[in-house]
Amino acid sequence: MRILIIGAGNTGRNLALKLCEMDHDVVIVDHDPEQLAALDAQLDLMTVLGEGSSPEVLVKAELSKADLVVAVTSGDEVNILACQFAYAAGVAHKVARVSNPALAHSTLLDFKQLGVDLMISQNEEVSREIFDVLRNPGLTELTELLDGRLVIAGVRVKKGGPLLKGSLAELHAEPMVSSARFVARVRDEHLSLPYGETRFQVGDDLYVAITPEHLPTFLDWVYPGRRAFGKTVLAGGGGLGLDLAHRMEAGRMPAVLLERDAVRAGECSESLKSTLVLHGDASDRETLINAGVGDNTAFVAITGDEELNIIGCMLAHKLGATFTLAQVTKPDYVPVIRGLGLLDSVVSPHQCMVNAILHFVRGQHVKAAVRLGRVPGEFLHVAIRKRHRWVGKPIYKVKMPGRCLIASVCRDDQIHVPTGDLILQAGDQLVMFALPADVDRVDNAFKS
Amino acid sequence: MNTKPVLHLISVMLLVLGVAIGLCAGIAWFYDDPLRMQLGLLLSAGLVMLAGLVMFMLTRGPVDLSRRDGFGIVALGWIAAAVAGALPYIATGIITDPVSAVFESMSGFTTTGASVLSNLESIPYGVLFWRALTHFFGGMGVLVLCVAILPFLGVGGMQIYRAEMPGPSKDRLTPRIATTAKLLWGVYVLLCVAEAVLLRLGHMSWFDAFCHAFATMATGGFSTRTASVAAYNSVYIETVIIVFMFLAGTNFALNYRALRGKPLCYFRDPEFRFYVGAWLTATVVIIANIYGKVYPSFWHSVRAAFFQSTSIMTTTGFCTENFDKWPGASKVVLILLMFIGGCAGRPVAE
Repeated sequence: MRILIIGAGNTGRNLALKLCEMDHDVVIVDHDPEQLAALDAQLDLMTVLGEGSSPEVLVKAELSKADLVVAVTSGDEVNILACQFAYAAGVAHKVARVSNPALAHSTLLDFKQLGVDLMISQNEEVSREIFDVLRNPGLTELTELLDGRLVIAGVRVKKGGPLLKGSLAELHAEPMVSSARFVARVRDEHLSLPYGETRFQVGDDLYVAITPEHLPTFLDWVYPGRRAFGKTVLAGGGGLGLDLAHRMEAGRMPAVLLERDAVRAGECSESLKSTLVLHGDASDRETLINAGVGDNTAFVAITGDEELNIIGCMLAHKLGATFTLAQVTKPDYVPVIRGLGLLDSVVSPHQCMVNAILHFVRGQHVKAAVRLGRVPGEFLHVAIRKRHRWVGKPIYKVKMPGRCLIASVCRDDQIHVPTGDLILQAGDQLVMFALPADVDRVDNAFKS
Repeated sequence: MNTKPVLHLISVMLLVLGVAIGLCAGIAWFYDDPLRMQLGLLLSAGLVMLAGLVMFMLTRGPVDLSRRDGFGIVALGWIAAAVAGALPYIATGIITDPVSAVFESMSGFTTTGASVLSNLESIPYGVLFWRALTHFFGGMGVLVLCVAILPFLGVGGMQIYRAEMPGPSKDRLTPRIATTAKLLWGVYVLLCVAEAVLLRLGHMSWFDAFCHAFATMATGGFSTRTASVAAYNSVYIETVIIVFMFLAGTNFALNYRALRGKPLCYFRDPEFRFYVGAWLTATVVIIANIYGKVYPSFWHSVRAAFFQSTSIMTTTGFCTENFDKWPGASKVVLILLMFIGGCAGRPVAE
């Protein structure tokens, strides 16, 4: 697939990286020659220098040959205009990122008719993801699938927890576990698919597919004595921080917002009602103590400076914060941070853009494709066609295309936990989880 | 440097060269060269392929190349190619001294065009063809060919391409480097064949036509005649060679776009405009300088000046005239042209 990325900022760069990994033809447009040179040195792609909203530049980037255009510059107008040019040039899929959430929900204009197939407010997506994690103490990561009817939840195995009691087959006897399907285990940066005889260790990161209704009880079982955070300290009052603070207010969760810039702090304070806004630096111990970081607090570092985020989280951890989360854009940092074992969760803001376009990349038969921030591999939402070779077979008899598993079965809007004796029917919606090397094979198995 | 994948790629290159030497053995058989020549070529083909095969089997594994490895492959690749390319000369006994044989082979691959051979008419077909083939492979780069034909290289291909293609060549034709390499080789082969056919129409033999086409498109200059192109004394052949030397000296991305039906793109390129300007100015100066002084005929001066200036500028090195006898001013202009050389993104051409 030929993909044109407009904007080589953090998100554009990460998209390019992922798409090149997946063997697509990538062309990237940006006005900064240094950014382009750095990308050109690292990846097998074509770079075009110029403004993304200039038709001349887009022609040079052979816009009309592209199958997908993703506009992720910092300018909303540029992104929308680029998509409109792409629409005029007959490009099949156009995705624009906007930083103003009002644009994504605008009722004044139907952007679909103007050529933008999908408009994503990145801040909003990331903020929702973090909010979901904060609302469910114990979670490390949460992603929705099947229009929100299923979630993929990340949990970490803690000392003395019930997950250590026996092998996975033995654990399934527990009523709490029978509603969940374990889909992935990450131990020391190594991803594996859990089977009946798999045993877990302290520090393992586990991923389960579960319905949102069952999630709280499942978490209560995994973490006995779990309680809501007494307070959440948010470091960074940018668009993302402010959006998250608004969500916290709406959810009646106590929060403190830290902002380094006095003017911006004032703006945030005016916009928020009950949230306390402090002017201070997240890497300053005194500030953190004043903000109330301590026992039973969550610390969320989402400033634009990722090193600051990491340091802030480590400080908060030392001060006794129960949960720390940092926004990190550099993919190279993620495994290092995990290796340190000091942060509970890492959020990569570009991940939602990746997930948004994965669907277009995978083709018509894949209704949605999702990757988690910290786990290689991909979730694919596919339907079983009539006359598919899996129809009428119980799951244990199905020959899987490569290293993958069925994470969930959705039949007549009901989520079924895929046990071995469940007989698959035509029209079933499946969520498949596949290791990176085998995603294409799974993809092909459902092509018509 | 990751020795294993680097050697793995060089082994693939050796296999390609081995097959090419085998082709020369076939040519030797077809033109009825002495049996010793045929066997010599066959033996060297076998040796190179065997070496390649052994290396290939020993170094199998994932090919994950960094930028350093790209440089490693290119540096070692050229040396390996020169040594493997020297085998046919030694095995046939055409050049007995190994150092001279490596010199001839290196000069061929780097399309330098300097030769240790004197009487070319006495050399059998198979060896002459190998000599021309070293130009052919060296012209666009045998490693770039590997990038084009090996599907598994991925990013590694880019590292090799970057290390192999010198100069500020920003002209990617496609997002993928492998596809770009394929297209450039396609254009190169197409132009070679076109030139060979045109030369054949000028009553060159097929053999000479192909050898000269390889030497022209690679801007190398190995001829099959001791007197070089002068041996044919044909205005038609010289014109064809001038045109193709000129094309070989232009940016191949431009040639590709022109072939795709956009001939005007040549003149939109500032580098090309300078290239044409320098070429025409120099030629006119030389004509004014040599007309009457060296050649009494105006047309003879035009013909000589055009051929020689193109040949020198593109660093091809074919001769039709002894420009040693030209006046100093012309010689200075020729030397200046040599410095200008061709455009970026053309075959390696010194």
